[in-house]
Amino acid sequence: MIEPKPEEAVPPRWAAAVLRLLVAARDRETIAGDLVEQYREEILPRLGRAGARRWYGRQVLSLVSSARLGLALGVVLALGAAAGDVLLPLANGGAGGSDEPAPIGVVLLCLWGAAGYLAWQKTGRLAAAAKAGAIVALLSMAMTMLAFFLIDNLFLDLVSRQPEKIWLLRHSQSQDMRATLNAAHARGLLFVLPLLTAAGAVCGAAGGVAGKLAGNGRFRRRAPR
Amino acid sequence: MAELPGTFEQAVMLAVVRLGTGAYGRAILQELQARLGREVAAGAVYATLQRLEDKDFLSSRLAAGTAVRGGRPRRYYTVAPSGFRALNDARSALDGLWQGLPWPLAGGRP
Repeated sequence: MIEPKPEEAVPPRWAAAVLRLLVAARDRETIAGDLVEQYREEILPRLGRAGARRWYGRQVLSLVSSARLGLALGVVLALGAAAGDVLLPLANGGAGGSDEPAPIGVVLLCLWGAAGYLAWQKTGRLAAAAKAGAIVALLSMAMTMLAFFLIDNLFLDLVSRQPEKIWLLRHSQSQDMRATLNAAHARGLLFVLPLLTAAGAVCGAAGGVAGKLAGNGRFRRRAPR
Repeated sequence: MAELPGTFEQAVMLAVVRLGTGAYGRAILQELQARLGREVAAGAVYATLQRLEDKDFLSSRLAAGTAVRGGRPRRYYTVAPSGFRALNDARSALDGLWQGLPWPLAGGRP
């Protein structure tokens, strides 16, 4: 395969897509131009194709604010919840069912940690890393809970056939499925969301420590030329 | 005295002053990395530029892009009068804090 000339090289598509989706519209084009200019003129000749692509990805991720990252993650999770509960309501007990929560949980913890890592790269402060993890966790989980609340109320006939919902009703004081589900949502909002936010802060701080240990952030001393 | 800019904000504004008419995102990033002697995340610079514009310390204008940028425009920054005042105030405040003290301080030396 023929390598493109540096002046024609194209940055990774996923990073360009993240830039388009998650960076404020006002600066999207100018920042993309700055990054492409540096990518082609300086980074690609110095680091090679693989190194330059990693560099571009890191720069793009450093541009995304914790709030936007949290909201984007929340949208993905909410769509996943809708797909699982509405489109495939009885498959594996629905999205977020008790059959396979562990892999999703691990991915979420990693993403919250990644938010902390990115915040540490930007600021060099562990407090900022913890805050970033907490913000991403809070927003993503709040949106997911909101999605489940809406789904449970709008598609009550569908979700009330799910085994875990039937189990919940049997073990509640109420005979009303809607009231039972909404009480569960209220408990989640009051008790689970703060816990998950705290877990996000811990993961974010861990991500910040990882960034510090890797010596890969903004405060790394440059090798003398 | 108006709100004093933070250390990194001062570094960004001073980079804009040094670069003069050539102060756009990439040039500011490179100037900062050269002056500070460390890697600086692009996100930190753009977030700071935006914040300084919000505080009216900087102003910006768009200019046509070059071929290597795929025709994307450049945003050039200049320090606004209130930005110069803020930088002068920050320098005065720091000079006042150091007045009468020897430099470098001996206590932190091994």
